[in-house]
Amino acid sequence: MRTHEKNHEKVIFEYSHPGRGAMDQWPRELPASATSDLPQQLRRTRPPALPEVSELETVRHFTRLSHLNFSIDTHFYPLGSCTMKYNPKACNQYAMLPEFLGRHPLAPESHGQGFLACMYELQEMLKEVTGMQGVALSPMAGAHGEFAGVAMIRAYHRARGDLARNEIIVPEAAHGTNPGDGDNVRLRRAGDPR
Amino acid sequence: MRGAFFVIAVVNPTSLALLRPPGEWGSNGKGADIVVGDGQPLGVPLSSGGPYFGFMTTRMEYVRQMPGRIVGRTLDLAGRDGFTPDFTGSRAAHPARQGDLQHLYQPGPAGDGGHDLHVVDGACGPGADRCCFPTRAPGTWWAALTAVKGVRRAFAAPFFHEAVVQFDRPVGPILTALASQGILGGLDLAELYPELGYALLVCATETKTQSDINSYVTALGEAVQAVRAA
Repeated sequence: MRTHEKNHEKVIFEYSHPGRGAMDQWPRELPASATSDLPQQLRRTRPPALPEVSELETVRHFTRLSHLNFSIDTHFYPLGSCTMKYNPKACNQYAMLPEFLGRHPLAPESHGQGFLACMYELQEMLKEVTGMQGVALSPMAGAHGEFAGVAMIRAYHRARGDLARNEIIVPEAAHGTNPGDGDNVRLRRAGDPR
Repeated sequence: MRGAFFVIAVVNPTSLALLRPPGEWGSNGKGADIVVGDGQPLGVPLSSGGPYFGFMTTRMEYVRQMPGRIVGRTLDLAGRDGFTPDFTGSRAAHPARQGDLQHLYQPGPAGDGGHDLHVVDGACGPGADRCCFPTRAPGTWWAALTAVKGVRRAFAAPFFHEAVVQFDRPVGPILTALASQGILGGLDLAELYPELGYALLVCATETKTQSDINSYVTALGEAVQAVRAA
């Protein structure tokens, strides 16, 4: 009854029926050889309480959930911060190529020349548009980049013997990670009530 | 675990279809206080190392000390299920955190949805142990692999999806020979763990079929022979 109500979707556990599942993808039986090396006392004694649903029920459930999102694909979305930046569809499609998705992080460089060439070209383009001489692509997220930036600023001052600059100004309206950056590199926040 | 004050478990989530939940570990069944792990095995593409998602779970008594955002389930005015990010105002988004080294905030975009689907679709209820089988191919691949001449196992302890084998000569040329067959043969541990000698880390998950494994075992045997003969 609630299932197809507009703007609502049941949790997947409510679709669960004993014995249901994507059975075609299961091996018929679990060969004893697949688990015989695991000590009995480390083994589960009862199955995990996961939902038992068919493949199509699962796909439809998550598709309906996706439709409940207010997203760039369905609505005007005037936000640009954090994770909500717009990734052009074409770029996303290239990033989703199986050759990019399937590359193991510890594969040798010789097996990742395409990926490394992309990183290199991105680095050179960032160099060009910022007018800077060095680029690091190591920060993995915005907050990580902020942290790297603040750590670099501190290292710069210390390297030239300036230990007096030990405060950082963080507006009250700043994102939560901003004061975290300052605290993590042991900079005092200027104007903090405490 | 006896006498430990606080226990943190680090797990591969797919292994828990077969293994006892960390929350029940130990002779007294009191288990771990915190369980963490990488969500990548739940179906996130490798993508050269990210973005992935990690997970952190804890006993209810410690929930309010967890970093980042926590999504709660509640009921709306009509009595329907609803979800909401809890604690955000007081925790992550506002800058009143002097002395707090918390630096966790954004959920990674990689896992959203996909990992859920993997758990639900692949490892449902009573079938979970069977769905784990492809990952537990060791029952078949490990025996075949260690039967290859010149290959021996490094550790006697049981493992879930990856293990170390050793050779009597450097791994590099063996991997090169495998690469010429289009096979990325594993991770050479020479630099990471020199104390293990000529060691190679190999892994089999549900992404590998029995025929993949057969080809690998055959090619490895040939590569070892070729390197020995050279």
